[in-house]
Amino acid sequence: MQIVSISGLTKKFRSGKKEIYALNNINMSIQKGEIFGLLGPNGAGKTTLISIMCGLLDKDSGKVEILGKDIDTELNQIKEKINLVLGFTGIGMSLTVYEFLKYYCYLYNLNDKDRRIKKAVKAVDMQDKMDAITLELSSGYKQRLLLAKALLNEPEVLFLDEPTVGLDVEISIKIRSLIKDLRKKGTTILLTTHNMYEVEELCDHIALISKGRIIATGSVEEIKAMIKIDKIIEVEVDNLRKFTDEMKQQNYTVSAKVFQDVVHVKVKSYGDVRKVMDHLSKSAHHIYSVRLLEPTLEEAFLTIIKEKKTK
Amino acid sequence: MTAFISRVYSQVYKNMKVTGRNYFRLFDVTIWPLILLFSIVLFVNYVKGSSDIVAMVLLGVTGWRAVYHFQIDMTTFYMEEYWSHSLNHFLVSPIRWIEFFVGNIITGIIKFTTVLILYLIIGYFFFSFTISNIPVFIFGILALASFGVILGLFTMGIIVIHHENAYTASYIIPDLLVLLSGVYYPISIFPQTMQNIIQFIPAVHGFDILKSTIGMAQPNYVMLFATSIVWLVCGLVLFILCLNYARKHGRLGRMS
Repeated sequence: MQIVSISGLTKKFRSGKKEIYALNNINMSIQKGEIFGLLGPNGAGKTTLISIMCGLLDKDSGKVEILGKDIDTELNQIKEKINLVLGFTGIGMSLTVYEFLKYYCYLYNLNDKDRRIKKAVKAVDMQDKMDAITLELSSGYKQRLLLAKALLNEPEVLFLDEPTVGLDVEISIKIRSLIKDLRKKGTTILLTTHNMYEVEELCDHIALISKGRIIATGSVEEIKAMIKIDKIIEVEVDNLRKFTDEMKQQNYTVSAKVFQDVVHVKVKSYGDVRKVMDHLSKSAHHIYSVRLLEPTLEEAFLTIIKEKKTK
Repeated sequence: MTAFISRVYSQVYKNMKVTGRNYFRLFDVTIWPLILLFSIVLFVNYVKGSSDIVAMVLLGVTGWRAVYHFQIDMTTFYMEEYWSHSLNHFLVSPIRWIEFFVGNIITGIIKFTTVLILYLIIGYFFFSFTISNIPVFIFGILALASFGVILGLFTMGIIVIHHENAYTASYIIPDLLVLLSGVYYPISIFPQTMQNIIQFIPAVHGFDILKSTIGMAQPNYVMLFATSIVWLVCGLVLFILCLNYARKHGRLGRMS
């Protein structure tokens, strides 16, 4: 079931006499209960896209539907069922954590406020901070508070714009764990982040965005498969030097290098991977381990961006 | 509780909590109004102003605070969201602008009532001042409060685009208009041409209503209603145009 549907979305900004496309003919959809990652360099258009979806920014053309409702005509109904967390924004009111959350309960016209607040605060592990002034919280706690705020109305769609940026490892892990819990409960999440590890860990589908255009979309594995980069086979054998020399002599080998106590053999294709395996099986070496190193999402991302720039 | 009331109350709830916790915000309804009152009224006493002049100045100070609270609270509490980096979260919530305005008008009523009670007590004990015609006085205050709300629409329009760069305007614009409105003096002190122009400021007629309670002016109710409606329409149109501009050009929120 499609929860978010975007077609032909375009947004231009004027810079002097020039018109710059912040978003150029964006088409994408997000299915119910999935975590959809939006990846791209700074200025690619990620925040512009979220701003339009949340009603902070008008689009120039195209159609955006969230929960089957058009943002042009039914934005207020949509707002009741979505929520947003922005990284790096802080929040620093002279309200306590409890008052801040209660304020948002009133904004969202929620009943059973205390139960919701307790539940949200427990989810982000901030029970002992209820009386703390938000202004005085550390950035990690502020970010957790924003997540608690976003949980109050039990949103059907949650927009997370770099939710773990600038946070320490422990808090980032907690937040990622919370995001996974939300997915289990059926919340649809649109996540933007620069953290490729986070994308690989969390996202069901991703879209790569560059200069206002979506340049690739699919699952993490599909995105990785799109790139044509050399395959690396990591081999642990008894005689590293000898094996490296043998590999260098093969015409299918791009390179063979010793890395600490393993050899990295780089080849062009999966067919060549098979040839390396055949060579190993016929050789007299004692083989301790063989592993095909997959390209990381970061490599895939950079390669696709580079390919698009070249074209 | 309907959604409308809940969201209106959200503003009152936040504003009261923030004001109550911040000494400087509390000064807005205690120290600053008292400094304004005493500095002007004591000066009038020093230059041997008559009791009527003292009464006119007291009424002027009171009316001026009505305009101030109904105008400045709207912009200040919007800026509160901006300064606290919560503006985007606030704007993404389902609150409508009408609910925001009503909530902040109620906050203005609470804050102005506090100041009014303070002024009436001090006026009575220090300057033997009492209100001679309460219904007319209340009507005059309502007229000036309405003008404050209208000015709030103008300043909010500028602020949704320029944020803190325009916040100073929310002090300067009402200061200028109120001074032109004959707050502590009759507008007959201005040159005739200027008098003709400032007749189109609703506050002129609001202050005249207050002055009429001590027999020092003849209010023009027709001009009050006519100018208030024209200013209200202009304020609404400007606010909507600014809001649309801000939304189109990415100035509304404060994205990272």
